[in-house]
Amino acid sequence: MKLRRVALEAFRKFREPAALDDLQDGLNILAGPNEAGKSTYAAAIRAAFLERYRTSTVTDFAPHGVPGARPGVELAFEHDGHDYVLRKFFLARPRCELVIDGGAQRLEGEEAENALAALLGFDLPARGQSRPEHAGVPGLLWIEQGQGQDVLQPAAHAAQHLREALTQLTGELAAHDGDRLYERVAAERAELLDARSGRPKGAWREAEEAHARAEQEAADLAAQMARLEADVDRLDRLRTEYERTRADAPWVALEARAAQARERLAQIAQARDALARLQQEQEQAEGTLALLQEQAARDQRDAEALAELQGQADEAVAIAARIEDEVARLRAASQAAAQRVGQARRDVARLRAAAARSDLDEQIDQLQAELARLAESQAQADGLAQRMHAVQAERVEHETDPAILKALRAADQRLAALRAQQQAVATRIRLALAPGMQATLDGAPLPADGAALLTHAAELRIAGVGAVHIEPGGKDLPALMADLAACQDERDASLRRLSVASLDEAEARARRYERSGHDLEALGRELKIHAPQGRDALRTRHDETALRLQALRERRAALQREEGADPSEPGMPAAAPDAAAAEFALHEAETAARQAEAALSAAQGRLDAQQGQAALLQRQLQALRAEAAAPERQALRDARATRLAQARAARDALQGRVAQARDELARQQPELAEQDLRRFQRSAELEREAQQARHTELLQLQGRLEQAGALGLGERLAQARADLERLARRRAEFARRAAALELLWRLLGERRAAATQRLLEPLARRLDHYLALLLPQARLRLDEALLPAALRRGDDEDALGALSFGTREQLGVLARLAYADLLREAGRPTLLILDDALVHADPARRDLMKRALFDAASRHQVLLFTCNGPAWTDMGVPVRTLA
Amino acid sequence: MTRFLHTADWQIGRQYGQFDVDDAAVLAEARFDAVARIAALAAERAVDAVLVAGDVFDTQAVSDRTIRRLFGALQAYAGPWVLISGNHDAMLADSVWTRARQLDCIPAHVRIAAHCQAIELPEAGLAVLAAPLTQRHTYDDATEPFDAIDTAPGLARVGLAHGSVQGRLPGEADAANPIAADRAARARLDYLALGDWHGCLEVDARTWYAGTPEADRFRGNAPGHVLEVEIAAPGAAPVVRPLPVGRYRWAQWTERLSLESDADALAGRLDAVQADEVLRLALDGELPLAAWDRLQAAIDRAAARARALLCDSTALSLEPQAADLAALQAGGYMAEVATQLQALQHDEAQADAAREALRLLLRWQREAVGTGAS
Repeated sequence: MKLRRVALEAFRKFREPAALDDLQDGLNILAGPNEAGKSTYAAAIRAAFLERYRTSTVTDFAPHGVPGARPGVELAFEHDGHDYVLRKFFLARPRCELVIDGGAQRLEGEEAENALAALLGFDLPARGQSRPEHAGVPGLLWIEQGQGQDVLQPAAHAAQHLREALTQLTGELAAHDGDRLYERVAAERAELLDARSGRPKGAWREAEEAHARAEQEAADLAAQMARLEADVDRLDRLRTEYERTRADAPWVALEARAAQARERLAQIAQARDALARLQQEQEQAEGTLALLQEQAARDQRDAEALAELQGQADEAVAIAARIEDEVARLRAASQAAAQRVGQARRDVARLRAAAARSDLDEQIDQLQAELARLAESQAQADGLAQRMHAVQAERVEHETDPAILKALRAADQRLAALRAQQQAVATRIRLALAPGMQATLDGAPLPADGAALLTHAAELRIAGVGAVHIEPGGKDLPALMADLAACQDERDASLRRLSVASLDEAEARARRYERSGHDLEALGRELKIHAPQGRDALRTRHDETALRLQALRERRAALQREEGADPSEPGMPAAAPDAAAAEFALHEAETAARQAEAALSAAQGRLDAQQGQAALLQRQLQALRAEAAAPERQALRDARATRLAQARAARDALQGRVAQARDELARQQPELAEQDLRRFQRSAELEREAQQARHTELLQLQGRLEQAGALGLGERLAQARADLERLARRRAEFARRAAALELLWRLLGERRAAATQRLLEPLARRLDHYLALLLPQARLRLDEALLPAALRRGDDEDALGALSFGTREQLGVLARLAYADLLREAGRPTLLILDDALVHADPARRDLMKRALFDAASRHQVLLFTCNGPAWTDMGVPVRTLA
Repeated sequence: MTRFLHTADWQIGRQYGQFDVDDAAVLAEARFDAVARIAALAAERAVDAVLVAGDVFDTQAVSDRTIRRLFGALQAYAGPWVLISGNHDAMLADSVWTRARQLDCIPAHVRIAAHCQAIELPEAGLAVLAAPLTQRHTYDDATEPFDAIDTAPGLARVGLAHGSVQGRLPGEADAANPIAADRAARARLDYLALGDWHGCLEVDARTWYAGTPEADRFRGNAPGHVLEVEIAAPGAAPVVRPLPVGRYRWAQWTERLSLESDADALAGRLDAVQADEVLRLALDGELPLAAWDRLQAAIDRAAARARALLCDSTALSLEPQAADLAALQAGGYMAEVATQLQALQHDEAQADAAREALRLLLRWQREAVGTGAS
């Protein structure tokens, strides 16, 4: 399709007629500033084709403020070898006219509009203004301002036309029906199969569940039936058993046998009684016999006792005699021992006395010496004391207060020092008078060549000369003189206090005092040597010692007297001078004596006891003898012997009978009889009980079966099984249908997808062609609605919406170019209108887009409206400027 | 001279799960009707007795109502009925018979043998040696005692038993409830009336199976009869006449179709199916579309006419031609899919699904075309 001319009249801003002439094949660039009317032209072209001429809603076509306006558009175009002129007037006196081939055909009104719609591929609205869904192919290819990035909507509205074109190109047969079938299959499938999990749903699931339920029910009923049948069998068995047992009546036989056993037991019991009685008799006999035997034994024992007693008595006497001898012997020994003890004691005493005596002597000597010493000491001490006393008296006189002495000494020294000072300081006068001259100093004559110290003002009178008044200088001299005077006074005072005339005297006195002090001390020490605790103590000791000595002497004298009365005994061995040995001997002797004494008394004791015993036994013997000899006792003894013999015989007899009876009893086997009784009794009981139980169970079973029978279980089971069969069939049918649907759906889907792919192939090729100019490695993926779905670059895929605005705009343009190629190949009219379509492209992209446009313009007519004329001067076509 | 009816295997209470509920109910009801017809026939032909050789009931635990109905159905004939228990309704300690007694619905003229015994019917000129089965599974010959039972001299000795005659039944081997093949001779029976085999079958001149009076399964064996037996005198050879009493005819057709003509022939036969037929149809093979359509139509018509028709065509593959598909406007990839499915019909694993899928495809396409493509 090629548009040649667009003329407007009273259309929006074009109150006056305006036209675009000489539109070329290929690219037409129409530049103009804003508000130059570019979009108006685009709108007019759209209106001319898409809007119904009769529509009254397009009031915005009319220029503003012109009532009764009649907007008109005239288009001249050619397509497929025909010329077309379209005139359309809106609002006032609306009209539409299509003149084909210069009048060869003329279409008016709706007819014209419909023809155009069929030609270009769009729809006319039923009423009102044209909406995007009507715009079809023009809506896709004529990009309005700011709409470039949205290609999906317009493409969707043009889809049918695109598809037709594709179908035509690819020769793919219309898949209409295929799609319809596919949808139906999908729908039917979705009814039976859950899309995600492939599990039964809807009616199929119900069928499955119903089947499962029926299965369960049939199984339950079958189980009940089985139980029922088991019950029936049991009933049968029980009944037979019951009848049989009733006929047999096993308990009768058992009870009979039990009775038999009982009888036997009775018999046995009797025999047992008899045996018991015999045994009792036997026991009695045994008892009697035992008694008699005991008595005989007692007699025997009596005789024996007597003999024994005799023996014992004799023995006792013998023992007593023995002991008597022993006692005598021990007595002698004891006496000897006592004697020895006495001797030893005497020895010891003697030795002790001697020791004591010598001891005393020693002590006395000691004390005497002591006494003498003490006396000596005392004398010495007395002498010393006297001397001390003298010294002391002397000393008192020489007492010199050391402090004063010290002061004196000091004063003396100071005085000397002061005098020296004075000498030094004092004015010295040395005279060397002519002979015969005399001088007096303060009246005191001075030798002719004498010297004198002047410490104070003095007058030197020289006879014949006169008097010289000398006043010694020196600043300290008065002070010195004062000091001197003071010192002198002090000294004098001290001397007075000490009562001495001079220091030397004082010193001498002090020395003497000291010396006497020393002497006193020495004396004192000496005294101390003699009398450490003092003389009084010494005296006291002396007196004490004297007294003690006196006492000792007296004792000694006493001792002497004692000893004198007891001279050493003759005949005794020489007294061992060793006291210890004598002590030891004494100790030994004493011990021996004690032992002997003890032995003696023990023996004596035994003797007494034994004698007593012997006497007792003798008495007993006599008494017993007397008793045994009594005659009546003898008689008794005889009688007993006879009876004993009798009793024994009786017992033996009984023993024999008992043994006999026992044997007989044993033969009867009483335990066995007892066991039999118990066994048969119990068995009979059990049999009766079992029969009773059977009876009860029979009744129960019968009752249960009656009940079950009334429920018609068998029929219900048959019914359930029949139902199960039906449900199984139904379920199988569903399963089969589902499998078929699945298969069909899968196959259809596969084929459909393949067909779509083939259908899309040309479109994909054209898109790739254009896309390669902009983004070399990229591809646009198409969905089966023939719309671009995503941009794939390398391994990444971006949905369209995720791309930048500029890119989307560019892709939108490229997609439209591809669609246009497609439509053209299918012989449809293609006119591209771009109204400021690439404003968001950066310079690099814009260049690439220009390439694409240039390429496309070689196939289609493109009207490019732009406000930026200079930017488009490199397209190889003139840039027309709109006024 | 005595004349009696011999029947068996009434199988009252049997359920037919393979049919849908309505048909099953009708078929179950038909069994009662058969009994009524027997009673009517007995009265009509004025026989001396009716002997029922076991399996009167199909299961022990039928409902009370069923029991009452059954005994009620006997009332048309007032002469003596002798019933024995078979293996399905064995005379156990508690059985359908004991319940019938409890329900007190057994008419006086109906004699039920409780154990192996001779039941003498002097008015009928018959001594019936009855061997009812008293166990759920019987492994020994219940007719054994017949040899030793004596009956009154003037009466015809007729044995009444339920089991399988050793070695005489087609295809049965080691069945339970055996009966000696020569029992009639050994026990000096004039006639041995047997039950258990559901077809009317002559074992020998004196030993017959009456078969079930109303067919109850698809296997053939000539059911649907009662036997009218006439014995001129004790010892004479019995004259046996099978009388048809069955209402429905059961048949099973297994057809392998490979040519159109096969399908058409079958369609023709189907068109001849009557209202009293119960038919099971199993189809196998391949058919072109048109032939299948025709056959399908014939099947539908036959199903409408017959008492019941079970058709299993899951093993039948369709072979639509290109023309068929074109006619259906199944173009483009649809046609490809159809071809694919056609091929898959012969693949073991997917044959069933493929056949069904192909049919769905063709059917829906036909519907779509039929409703007019938009």
